[in-house]
Order: sequence, then C-alpha cells, then structure tokens
Amino acid sequence: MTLVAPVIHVVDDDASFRTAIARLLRASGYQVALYESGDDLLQNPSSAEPGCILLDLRMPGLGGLELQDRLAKIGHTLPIVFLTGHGDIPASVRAIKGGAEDFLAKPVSKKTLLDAVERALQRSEKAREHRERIGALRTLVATLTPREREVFALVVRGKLNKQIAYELGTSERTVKAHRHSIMQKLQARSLAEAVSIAERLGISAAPSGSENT
Amino acid sequence: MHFACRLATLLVVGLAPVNSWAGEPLPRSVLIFDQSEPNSPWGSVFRAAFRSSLSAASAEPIAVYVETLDLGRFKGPQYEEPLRTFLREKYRGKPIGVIVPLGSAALKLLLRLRGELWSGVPVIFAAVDEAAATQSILPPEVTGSILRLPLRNAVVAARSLVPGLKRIALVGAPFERQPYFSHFKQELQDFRGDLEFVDLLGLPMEELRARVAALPDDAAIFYTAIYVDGAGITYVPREALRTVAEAANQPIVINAEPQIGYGGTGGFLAVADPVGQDAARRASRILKGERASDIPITMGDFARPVFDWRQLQRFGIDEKRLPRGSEIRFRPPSMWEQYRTPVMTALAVVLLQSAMIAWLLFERNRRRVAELESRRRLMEIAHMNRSATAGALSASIAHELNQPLGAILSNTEAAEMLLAQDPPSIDVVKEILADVRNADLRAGEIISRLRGLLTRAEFNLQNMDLNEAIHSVVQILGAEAKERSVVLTADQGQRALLVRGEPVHVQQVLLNLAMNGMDAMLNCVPGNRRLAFETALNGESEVEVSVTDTGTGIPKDKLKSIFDPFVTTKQKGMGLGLSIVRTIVETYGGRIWAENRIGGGAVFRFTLPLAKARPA
Repeated sequence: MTLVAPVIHVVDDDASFRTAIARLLRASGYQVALYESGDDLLQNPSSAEPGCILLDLRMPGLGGLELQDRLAKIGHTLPIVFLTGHGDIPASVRAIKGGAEDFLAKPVSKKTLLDAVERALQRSEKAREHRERIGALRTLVATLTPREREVFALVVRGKLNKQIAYELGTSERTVKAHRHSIMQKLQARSLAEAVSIAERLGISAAPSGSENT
Repeated sequence: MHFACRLATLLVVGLAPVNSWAGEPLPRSVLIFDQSEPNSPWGSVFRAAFRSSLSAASAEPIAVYVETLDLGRFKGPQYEEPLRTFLREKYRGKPIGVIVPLGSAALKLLLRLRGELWSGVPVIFAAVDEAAATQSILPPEVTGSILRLPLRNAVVAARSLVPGLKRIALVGAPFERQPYFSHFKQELQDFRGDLEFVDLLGLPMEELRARVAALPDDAAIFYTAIYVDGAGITYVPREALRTVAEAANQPIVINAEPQIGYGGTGGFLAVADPVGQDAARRASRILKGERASDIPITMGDFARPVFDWRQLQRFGIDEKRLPRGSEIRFRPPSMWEQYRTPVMTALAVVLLQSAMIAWLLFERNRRRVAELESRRRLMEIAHMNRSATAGALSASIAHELNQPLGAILSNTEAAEMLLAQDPPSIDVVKEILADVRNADLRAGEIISRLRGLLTRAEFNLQNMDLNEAIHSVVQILGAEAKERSVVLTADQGQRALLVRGEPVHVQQVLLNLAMNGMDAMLNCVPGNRRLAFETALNGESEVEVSVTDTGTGIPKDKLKSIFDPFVTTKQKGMGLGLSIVRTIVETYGGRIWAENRIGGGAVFRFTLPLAKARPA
C-alpha cells in the first residue's frame, strides 16, 4: 500500500546484542535503525514511517517501560516489541497493558523474532491504513458548512427532522435540505453509514459539532 | 661390825621419819658434787640435763650448787683436808637439801665428808660404777643409778664396723686403773673363743701409734681412756684419742660421749643426758618428801649407738651395717638440711611459677582454639552471606548472561543466512565470528564472577589490589544496578592500590555495602539513584574506602548500632550484612563507620592497612 519500506528501530544499551540483532534483521531484508538508549530514540523521531520498535526492557537511564509511556504521551504509534534478558510477570503485564505488541525473552530465536516483527509491522500497517481512512473522513467532514455540522451532529444522535428544526429554530424543510447535502458530501448512502463516520471521528458523543481528536 | 652397821642403818631408817625431818621440809637446794674438771663435756651435759629436768619438775625455784673437784688429777689427804675445810666454810649458812655426787670418786669422797659436813643429807649418786656402788656398804639416805658399760657393747660395735672381725686391739689405761672398766677383765673371757684381744694397754704413745698403724684388716681398736701413757706423759683422754686415731689404720670403737669427734669411729656411748634426768627425778622426789632409802638403786648402761660420719667415710663403712637406731654425727648438712627454708621457698616459687606458666599456656591455647573456632565460624557465616548475596543477584546476573547468549544466537543465525546468500558475505561473517567469540568470553567471565561469589575463602593476609576488588564489584553489580536504575561509579586510579587481605572477603565488604546502598535507594526517583565507590590514602599506612549512596540515609540513633548483629533499617533485613562487614574489616586490621550525607543518603567508610611493599 505504501512505497516506503518499513524500518525496525532497535533500542538496546548492549552494543554487541544490538549489532547481532541488526545483522539478523538486515539479512532478513529489513531496514534497521539502531539506538543505544531511549533518549537517543526520542531525539530522532521517525514515527511517520511504517515500522516497529524492538525495545530492551532494562536500560540505564530511561528504561523500556518508561520509554513506552513517553512515546504514548507524544502520540507515537509505532508498535513496540519488548526484548528482555530477564522479564518478570509484573513488567510484562505492564508492557502489554501499555500497548506492547509482544514480549520476548533473550536469547530469542530467529523465527520468534521475525514472527513478532512481522506481526508488529502488519499492525503498524493496519494502523497506518486506519489513520489514513480517518484522515479521509476528516477531510470530508471538513467540507461541511457550520450549519450542516450542527445538523449532522443532531442527526447522528438520532433526532427527528422536526426536533432538529425546533432546536435550531428553523423549518423542517431546511433541515431536510441540509441532510441531503450532508449525505452527499460525506458520501454516505444511509443514515447508518453517517452514524459510523461520526462515531469513528468521535463526533456522536459531543454535544456540539466541534472536532476533538 | 657389818651387822652392827646394818642394824644402825635400819634403826636410823626406821626412826628417821619420827625424829629426823618429820614434817620439816628439806632446804630447797641441791649440791652437785662432780668429780670431773669444770670444762668436762660429760659433766656439763649432765649438769644442764639435771638442772632443766629439776626445774621442770618443780614449781618453786631450787638452788643448785656445783663443786667440780677434778679428782682425776687432785687426790690424797693433802687435797682432801683443805677441801674439807673449804667446803665447811663455803657452805656454812647454806643448808643443802640433796647432794648429787657424780662419778665413783666423787661418791667415795662425799661419803667420807658427809658425816662431818652434811650429816644425814640425802645423797643421789650418778654415773657410779658397779663396784663402787656395791663393794662397800652404803650408808642410809643414799640412792642413785649405777652406770654399767658392758664390754659386749664394744664388741657389737666393733663387729658392725669391721666385717669378719677377728681381733680387737685394746687401747687405754690398764683396766684395773679405770673403775668403770674394771669388770672388762672378766668379760674378756666370754669372747676368747671368737675373738683375739691384742693388749696395747699402758703402752707409751709412740709405740702405741706404731702398733695401731699396722693392724690387720680384720681388727678393730677399742679405746677406753689414756690419762698417762707408758712413758709417764699425762694426757686429756680425748686428746690422746686424737693422737692415736691419727695413726690408726682400723676403726676405733669408743664408749664415752665426750670422745666422739676426736677420731673415734663410734660405738655405744654413755650419754650424760639420761643420767642427769634420772638424778633430777630422784632429787625431785626426795625434795617432795620421799625418803632416799625408799628409792631403789638402779643399774643402766645409758648407752646409745653413736658414730662419727667422717670416720665412717674414712674407713668406707656402710651405714646400713651399724646397729639399729644408730645416730650419725658430724654429717655435713645436706643442701636440704642447711638451706631448708630458702630451698623450700625457691621451690615453692618455682612451682608456683611453673603452675602459672602452665596455666597461662593452657589459657593461651584455649584462646587460640577459640579464636580459630570463631574465625572459622565467621568465615562460614561470611560464606553463607556471600551465597545469599549471589542468590539475590542471581536474577540480574541471569539477565546479564542472556545478553551475550542472545547476541551469540542472533549472530550465528544471521551468519547462516549470510552464508546462504549468493555470493555469501564472508566479510560480515568474519566480523560475526569475532563478535561471537567476544560474547562467549563475556559469558564465561560472568559465570566465573558468580562462582567467585560462591567460593569458600579462609582468613588470609596477602597483598591484593583494592582497585581490582572495586572493579570486580562494579562488574558483579552492573546488571543489578541497571535493573534498579542505579548509576554506579567508581573513582579508580590507574595504579594498583595494594592492601593486606583476602580478595574474596574485601570484595564481600564492598558488595554488602553496595547492596545496602542500593536497597536504601528503592524509594528514590529513578533518575537520582547513584552509588559511588571512592578511595583515598589516609596517611602512609592505610587507605580509606567510601561507599556513598543517595538513598534515605540512616536514622541518627542507629548510626552506631547499625553494625551490630540483628540491627537493621530494612523491612526484610536480617541485620547480618553490616555486622559481617565490620567483623571482616576488623579482622583485617581496619575500622568502619557510617555517616549521613548532607543532602541525603549515607556514606560508609572503612579503612584497610596498606601493604608495606607498595610499588612506586
């Protein structure tokens, strides 16, 4: 779907391990970026590209779990595969809850590693697609006039035309015209589709028509 | 005549109590009438024994007068007449209760003088020969003891001195001129069958000396007394004995106590002590009111076997041959007899000292054993402590070990893929192999460090590098510190810092302090967990090591006690780690103490003596 090859970001403080993993991934045909610490990664953001992060759980300074938190806070969306020499249950639970793609133990076999990386990349791809779809919908919604947005917000909440007209202080006929325009602009063939769009963009719950994602 | 005398005696004896001194006590005075000269030893001993026995037997004082008459040299009417006058005048107004004539001559003289001077005064004779006491009829109020010196005594003594005795040379004045020995003439007959008697009596001294110098081995000499020799020269008997003894080639038997010590070998000696005591007993009884006639006359030899040690030595005579109960005189006192008290004291001191030394040695040994035991236990506990530390670190060590293992695995798998390519990337595979080797070496190092932690180590003073110990501790703790987000730093000089100690134990001290520091930082912000090892020379002789953390510090009241066993500031601590640390440090001659850091955290400092041969 994309022309850009996925990049695997390896974050590990152990140079020899870092190098070994990089060799394996490169031999398997991936592009690899190496970081010796979490800070190193944060200073070189590349979340726009598809890929995933191979992250050591224990590192001096910023640990793997802390880095995961930081990335989530700044909206970094690359899936994370944790790699650890000694993973205990609390750490793994925390990692998975934080959205980790996988949790692998060192030493890791090629198959396990590549499978996990592949899964992460697929998810990354899906996420990218999802993001792109959402972006397209947002573009459509952006074409609505402010009045149409108000009407759209009320329509997806299941209000009748009469109610909408009353609420907006206009006639039922005008509301119908707005509805028709909205359905065309959003390329929605039915009310259900329009509601789905609103839900995906998080509009339905909002009392007003303002965006909030 | 005799009959009349006896009758008179009987009458006097019978009447005496009635008219003579009935109820009238005798004067409390005694006159000793000694026939010998004033310096005669025998007489002196007798008088001393008499006086002491008498005063012991009587509560009231009794006056004792002594007349030493020297009758051996002064005799005859021309002596007796002035003597009589002298005594009469001398004792006028001095009433005498009892008269004690000593010796036969004295008795005879007294009996002649008594009628006029001391009529009716009781008489107790002593050391009187049998003939003198029995040949004449004694007047009333006379009692005493007869001294009988049998020849048999001399023969017994001679036989004990000369084994296989065949003959006895008789030396002295002729027996008939010696009242005490006049009976020997008859007694000689009793031994004629067994013994030959060589008669050297009355010879001139020169001839006598020649004869006694040439006696055969089976002969003994029996010396009585020489007053005048055959040449008419006068002698004091014991001086004559000395002259004879100088020449004699055989032992000399004697029979009078004064002669011992003048060359006589010994024999049954008439001793004065018991004679004096016997006379005193009789005097005491009479003074208390008994009649002298009622006290029977007794006969005794008053002889004791006495020998001169020097003469026994001279003739090589074994003391065991002497008669039973023999007294040996002139034996040089042994060391023991002479210095008994100092010897005893010295001995006691030496014994006491030995006992003390033995006791101290015993205590020292006990102490040594106890020290060894305590050290052994300490090493045991230290080892257990190290094992526990190894256990606590095992998780992080396993993690650390997985690092090279993971690298090895991934590297080899990458290599397989690279080799399968066409063309294979040989250069990269070469790099991979080098990396694999390094990772393997690293894994081996981690395992050997863990094994080092589990090693048993004994107390051992050796030169060791303190920096190396710190380095190894930093290595061991690296993984654990990473896991706990602790930054470990060690300021280390390039030079080796040599101290005296066992590396395993010094490492344990550092490890325990570091683990404590890391435990103290559990609740700190992750970015502010720092543990630092520092070393500083403390003068010329010791080095001070500090382990600083940024943890919670030590409560003030526990700064001192924190090194005591079972004192801990941790929730789950046993309180043994620091007590082991202190024991180890002190065992190796160092000190340890703790401080709180300004700005939070604690510093543990300890010292170790520097090795003397420090490389420049």
